[in-house]
Amino acid sequence: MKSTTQPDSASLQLSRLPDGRIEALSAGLRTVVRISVCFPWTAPGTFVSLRDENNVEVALIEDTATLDGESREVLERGLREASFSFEITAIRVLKLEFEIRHWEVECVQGVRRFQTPKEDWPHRLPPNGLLITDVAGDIYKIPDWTMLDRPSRRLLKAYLD
Amino acid sequence: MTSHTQRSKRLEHYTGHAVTLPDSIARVVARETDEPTQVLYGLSDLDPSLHTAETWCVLTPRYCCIVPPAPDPPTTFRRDAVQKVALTVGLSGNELRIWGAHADLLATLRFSHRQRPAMESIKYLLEEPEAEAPGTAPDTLFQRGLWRPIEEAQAAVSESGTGLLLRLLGYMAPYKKRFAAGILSGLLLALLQLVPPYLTGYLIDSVLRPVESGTRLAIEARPMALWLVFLLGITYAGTQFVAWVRMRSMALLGEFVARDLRKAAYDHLQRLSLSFYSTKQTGSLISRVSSDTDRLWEFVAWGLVDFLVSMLTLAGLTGVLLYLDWRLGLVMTLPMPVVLTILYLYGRRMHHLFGNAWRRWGKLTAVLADSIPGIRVVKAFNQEHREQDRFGTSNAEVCTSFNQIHRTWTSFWPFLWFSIQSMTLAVWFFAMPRLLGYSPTATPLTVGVFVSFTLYMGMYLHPIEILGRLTFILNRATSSAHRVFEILDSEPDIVEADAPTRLEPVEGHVRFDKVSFAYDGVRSILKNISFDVQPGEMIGLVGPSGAGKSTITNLIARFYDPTHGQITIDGVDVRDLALGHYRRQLGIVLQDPHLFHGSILDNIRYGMPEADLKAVIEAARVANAHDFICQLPLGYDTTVGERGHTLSGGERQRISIARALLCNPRVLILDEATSSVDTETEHKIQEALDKLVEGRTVFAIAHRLSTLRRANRLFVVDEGRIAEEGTHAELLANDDGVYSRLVRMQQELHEMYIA
Repeated sequence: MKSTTQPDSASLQLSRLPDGRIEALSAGLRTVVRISVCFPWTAPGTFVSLRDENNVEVALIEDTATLDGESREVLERGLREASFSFEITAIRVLKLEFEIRHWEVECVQGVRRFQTPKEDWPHRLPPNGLLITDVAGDIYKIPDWTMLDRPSRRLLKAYLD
Repeated sequence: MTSHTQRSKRLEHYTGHAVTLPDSIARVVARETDEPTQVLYGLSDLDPSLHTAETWCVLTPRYCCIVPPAPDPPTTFRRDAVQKVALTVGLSGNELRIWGAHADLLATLRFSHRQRPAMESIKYLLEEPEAEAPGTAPDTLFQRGLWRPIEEAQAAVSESGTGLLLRLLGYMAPYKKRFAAGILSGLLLALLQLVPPYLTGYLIDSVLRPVESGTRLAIEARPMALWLVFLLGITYAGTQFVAWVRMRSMALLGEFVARDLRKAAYDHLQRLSLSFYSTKQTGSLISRVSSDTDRLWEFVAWGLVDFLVSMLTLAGLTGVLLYLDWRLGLVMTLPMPVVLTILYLYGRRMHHLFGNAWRRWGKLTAVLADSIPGIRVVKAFNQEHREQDRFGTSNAEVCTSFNQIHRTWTSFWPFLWFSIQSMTLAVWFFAMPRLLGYSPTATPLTVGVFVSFTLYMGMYLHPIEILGRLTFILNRATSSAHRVFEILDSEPDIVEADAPTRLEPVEGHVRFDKVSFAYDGVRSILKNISFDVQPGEMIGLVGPSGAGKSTITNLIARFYDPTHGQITIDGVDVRDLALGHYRRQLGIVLQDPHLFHGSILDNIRYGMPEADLKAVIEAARVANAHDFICQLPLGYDTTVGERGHTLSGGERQRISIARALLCNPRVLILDEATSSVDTETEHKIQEALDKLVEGRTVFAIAHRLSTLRRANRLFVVDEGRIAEEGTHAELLANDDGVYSRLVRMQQELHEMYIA
């Protein structure tokens, strides 16, 4: 079911303001918007909700392909920023410390230490992807855990078994 | 090292970054702003390209200074130059943008969720230039934000495992004699167990073999044989006696220690402030007082003495074997370190497997807990097969996990036994030439010594098995001790004054003088609120959700203390009042009244157990509860189930009103007392409340504005401030006011329903 109040994606134009925010131009109306991804794991890159400062939906973009080239580029960059999560490339320490699991990992973004609750387990992204959420709510992604180095796999396997 | 330093070090270990403002950054800030004092700071741990970095954002009394990693220069601007601040929340990357005049972007900070509490506080202070500076040190505020999610997930006791166990031993101090009896009997048990094999060998060598070989007459050997058998009997009886003393002493001691810990933890929980409960899950607190203390019983009752007995038995066995025959003794004892290592690894593996099995078991029970209460939805959507599949998958996973455990232990124990038996075979192999005497160079070995030897060998496995299990028991005990001691180490925020004032009785004159309050110490929920309420006045608190209405009543009840300003009751600072005495004169009726498991009578008398039955009936009558109670077959003796679920919401509410009435409170708080019931029930409750409020100072929170018709004054609370104040008519006269808007919205909603 498609909402009748939404502007047509083809008529929607997106641009970056000098301060880095995204501005939507629709029916002659300019609105600063933020990106909300409806299905960040199930269908990333589709059903992107653009919302104004008061959290009112300005547009729901079902598919980025319906946008013009420049708008698509703006949205895709915005999506990368909004969907940012740490990507683990190696696990150096993974141990239990009184009801929490302590992690020391190498990420694409740099070295991080974080903790997960003892009885908390990763969300699996088939076929071999893992999403780990730490106690503060930060998300760590492992696109394919079988591709990690041997020590990392060993640590992870003991945790996943 | 102080506990504060220990906590900082632990936090540093957990986060991997500085947890106080580095001196080098503080120097830069002081140089840039000319202000050496910091009000608040936060860490932006992501750079513009979303890679990890350390950029500090520091607020001084007048400036905001942002210090990126060298060589980038710091950015400094006046706090009063800030026009707008916006926080954008992402999956793991968040952005704080700060604008100055003419929409000039002053700064953009990127950070992970871990840094959000500090950054949100910075945002608040930048947006609210009038806000008072937090009364807490910036280091404490910064660390509090980092600690909170970790502490919610684990116990926050900074002692080491050994320290915790020593502290646990301290709980045995009142039971010194029992403890000494348990330990001594355990040690004696270890020694006595070594005696029978020795006596058996001696009996063979000194009695049986000489008689068999004819070197001694049976009649001569008989007294000695009987004497040795008697000694064996005494040893066996002695062994069982000390085993009984040990088990009884330690099992009872464990129970006493668990009882004392449970009592200490529960008593302390009653003393703790609401702020403690807001950071902990109810289930976690319940398990700390129940199952964790039970695990500590297991450790005290068995772990402690078992460890000592096993160590002593192993040492004794090794000594005896080497004493009986050092060559064979070495054959038996040299492989032992390997066996112990294998056992340790096995213990670890089993611990891991059990952990996974219980996790899957938890998933299985979660499916049950999900689908059985929701069975009407399952059936309504025709999803029985889906639920069967969901349960089937979890059930299969549980089966796989437990079968893995069974495969492991069933393979391991025969393997271990065979390893021990191989050592026995090796002993036989080396002993054979000496027993049969076919090797002339070998030292002879008597049958008796060899029989003793084999009996001792059989005793080796049990202590090894116990030591293998001990790692697991120790881990569980330290973890449980952590969780229990965390409760005991938490300090209540609300502390009674040294010489408290008792108001007898409380008249009900409530005064707020420039009161501000922030749950986290920074972001104010109440902002500089002042009002004066005379005894017997009824005040209606209205306003949008989250405006701060309940916070006002929480402060009146002194569940929290104000961050700034003063609250007085009859002219006395609420912090100087005798807390228990004051709260006894305070009545609270909540939206979802909690009834305890017990009779209706017990529940009405909860605040005043000594009240007579006539007073109970009178309170129930005034609360419009008497009639429905009399319809119940057991009347006031009807047991209301857990949380009073056998009664309707309106009935429970009327019981809670009777409970409040019985105490004859001088100050009454009604927090949404009628919002979750139907109109007819609301009418009955309202009638009861009308009687309840007479002659008392009342603060009533209500979303249905019609329920506040009796209020002398209405306070309209909006964004932490009292936006409007007056009677219903006075407030309605202001067409643009918040109250008028709320009334209009409710009328429109009402008309929509009627239409």
